[in-house]
Amino acid sequence: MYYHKFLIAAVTVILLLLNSCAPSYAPTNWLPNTDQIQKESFGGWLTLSIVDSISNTDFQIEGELISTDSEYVYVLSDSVINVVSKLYVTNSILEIDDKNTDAYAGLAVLGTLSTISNGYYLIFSAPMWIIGGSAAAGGESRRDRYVKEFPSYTYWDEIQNFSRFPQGLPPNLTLDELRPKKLSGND
Amino acid sequence: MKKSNIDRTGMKISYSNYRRSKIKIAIIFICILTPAIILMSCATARITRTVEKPKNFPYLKYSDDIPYIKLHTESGSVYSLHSWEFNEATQTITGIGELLDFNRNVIKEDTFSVSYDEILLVETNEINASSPVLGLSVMTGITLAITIACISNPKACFGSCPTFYVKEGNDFVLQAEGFSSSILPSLEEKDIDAISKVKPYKSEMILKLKNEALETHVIRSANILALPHKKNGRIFATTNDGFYEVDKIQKPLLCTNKTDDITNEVSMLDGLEWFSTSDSSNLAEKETVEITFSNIEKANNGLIISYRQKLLTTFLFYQSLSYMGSNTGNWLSNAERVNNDMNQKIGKIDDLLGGIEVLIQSDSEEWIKVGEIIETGPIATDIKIIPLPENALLTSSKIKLRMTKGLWRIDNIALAHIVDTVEPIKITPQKAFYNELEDPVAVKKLNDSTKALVTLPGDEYELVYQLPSNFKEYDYFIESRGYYLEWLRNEWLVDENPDKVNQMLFNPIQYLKDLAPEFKEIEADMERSFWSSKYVLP
Repeated sequence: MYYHKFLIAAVTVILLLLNSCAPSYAPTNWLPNTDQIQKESFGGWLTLSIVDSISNTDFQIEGELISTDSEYVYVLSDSVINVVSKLYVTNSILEIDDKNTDAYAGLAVLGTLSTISNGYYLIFSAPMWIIGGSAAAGGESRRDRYVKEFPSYTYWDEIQNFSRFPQGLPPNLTLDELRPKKLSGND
Repeated sequence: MKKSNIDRTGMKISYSNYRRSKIKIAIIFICILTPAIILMSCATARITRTVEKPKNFPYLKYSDDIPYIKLHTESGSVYSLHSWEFNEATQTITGIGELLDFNRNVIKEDTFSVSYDEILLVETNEINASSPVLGLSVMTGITLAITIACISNPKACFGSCPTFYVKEGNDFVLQAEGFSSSILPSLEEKDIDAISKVKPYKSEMILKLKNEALETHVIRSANILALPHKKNGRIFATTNDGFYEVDKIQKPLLCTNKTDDITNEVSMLDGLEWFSTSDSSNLAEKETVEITFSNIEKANNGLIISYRQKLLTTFLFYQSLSYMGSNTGNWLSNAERVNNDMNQKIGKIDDLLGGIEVLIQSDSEEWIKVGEIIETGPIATDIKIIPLPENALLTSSKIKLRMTKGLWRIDNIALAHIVDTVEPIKITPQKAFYNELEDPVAVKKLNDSTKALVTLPGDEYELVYQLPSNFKEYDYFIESRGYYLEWLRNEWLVDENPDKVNQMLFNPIQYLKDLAPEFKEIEADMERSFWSSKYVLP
C-alpha cells in the first residue's frame, strides 16, 4: 500500500516536472526534425510578446522569422507579414526544430514505474528516474531554443542567423510577395 | 535467506525466497544504473549554425558532420547543396542540389558552380551530441601559498580570462581582457575590445597575451581588426560586433546620479571613473544616471560609453563555485550536457544584474530602452557605441542610463554623430614568441579555427601583427575568441552548500538578497586583494 502511494506520488511528480518542459508554440509539423535542419531553408518559429505603449496592454505575435534589421523584426503569420519594432518587444522565443521530448518523457515515466518491483529500494531508484528522466526531457525541450526577456541587440543579431533571410531582406522584394511554409511537406 | 530443511515444500519456499532476493538485487542495480547510463548517454543533440561571408567561411569541403551547405543570395533565393566544396582559385563553390526562390519553391535541380560574388552569406548546420565537457578539468586543491592577500579574502582572488597588453615603446600597456563571461566550453564566444590607449608608431604591432590567474585559457583566435577612418573621424564598436565611424564627439553638458554631479568624472577618458557601491540588502538593486547634451544633430546620433565592471560579478562567480565545492565538476558537466536549460538558469543571475541600459524619452515622456551594454570584466576599460533612433533627442536632450548599483565603473560618456558603418580588415598574428623563442606552432593554432592555444597560469606569449602601410589612418581593435576554466581554490571548498546552489538556480532573486550583507563586508577591501593576487611565475 505504501509502495503504491509512493509510486503514484512519484509519477505525479514526474508529470509535474515534465510540465516544466518548455512548450512548443509552433503549429504541429511546422518545425523540421533535428536531422532535417541541415536542409531546411525557412526561418525558425518566433513568438513575440509585445507591449502596446498606447493602451499599455500586452499581446502576442507568432510566425516564421523572416528577417530583422536595425529597428524591426519581420514575422510571417499565415500570409500576413508583421513588422514589429524591437523597442516594444518584452519577450521573444525562437524555436528552430521539433524536439524529441516525448521519448524522454515516456522513458522517465516507464523507468519510474519499473521501480515498483524494487520494494523498499524504490525510494532510491525511483527518484533517480524522476531526476534523470525529467532532466533529460527538460533539457531536450530547452535545447536550441532562444529565449530572451527584453531582448538586446546581441539577441537579435544571434537569431538573425535563423531567419529565412539571414543576409537581410532582399532589396527588390516587396513584403506582400512572401508566402508561408506549406505544412504538407518541408523543402 | 531461510535455512533449508528436508521438507520438500520448505526447500522450495527457501529457494524461491533466495531467488526472489537475487532478482530483486538485480532489478535494483538495473533501476539505479540505467538512469545514470541514460543520463550520461542522453546527450541531446545541439545545432551549431555557422553563417559567414564566403571569403571568411571556416570550412572548405563537406564532411559527415556538415553534409549540406546553403548559399544565400541578394535576391533572397538560396542554393541548398550536398557534396559541396570551395574552389579558392576560381572563387566558386560547387555542389549538387537545388536552387530555391525567396518562397522556397524549387527553381532548378542540378550541379551548381556558384561564384563568391553571387553569394552574400554561406550557412552550414552541424548537429552534435552534447557530451560531458571535453577537456574540462577542474583543478582542485590549489593553495595560494604565495599570495597572503588571496588567502585572507578568497573570493577576491585575481581572475580574468586572457589579458592583452599592447607594446608602446619599451612598455606594455593593458588594453583588454578577452571573453570574460566564457567560463565553459559551451559559452565560447568572440570578443571585440578597442585599443584605445596606444597609437601605433610603426607598421608592426606587438601584443602580449597573458594568463595571470589560476585558470586554463583556451584561445581559439587572437586577431587585430583595422578600420580606416577619415581625418577627423573615429571608429567605435557596437554591442553586436559592428563598427561606426563618427565625428563631432561632444562631452555631456551635465551628468548626475541622484543629486550628485558626476560630470567631471565622465567627461574624459582619463582613468578618473565614476562608480557607486552596492545595495546592502539586494545586489540587483538598480540606479540611474541622467545625462544632458547640447548641440544635438537631428539624426544619426550615437552614445559612446567607456566602462568596466567592479568586482561584484567576480565575487558572485567565485561564490557560486564555492557553494558547488567538491562537486563543481559535476555541476558544470551537467550544464554542458543539458546546455540551454542549466545555462539559462545560471544566466538568470546575469539577467537580473543586467548591463548598462540606455534609455531615451518618447514624445509622451516615457523612458524607452534603446540599447544595452552587457560585457563582463573588471580589468580593462572597454568602449562601445549605442546608436540612437532617429529624432531620439528632439523631445528631450536627456539620456538616462540604468544599471545595477555598485556593478559598473564609468570613465567616459560622450555623444557623437555617426557618419558611416565600416568593415574591418582582419589581421592575424604573423609570429609568436614564448620565453623569447619563436613559436610557429602557437601561430598555427591561433590561425586555425579548428585548433586552440591552451595556456596555463604564468604563460605569456608575444604576438606580432603586420599593420597596413598607412597605419596611422586606422583605428584598431582586438578580436579574441575562446573560453577559460577556473581552478578551484582549497579555501573555497569550506563553503560547499548544495542548498545554496539550488537557490542560485531556482530562486536567484532571493539569492542576490541573501548574499548582499556578505558582499558589503568585503566590498571596500576587494580591490586591494584582487590586484595583489595576480599569478606571476617566480
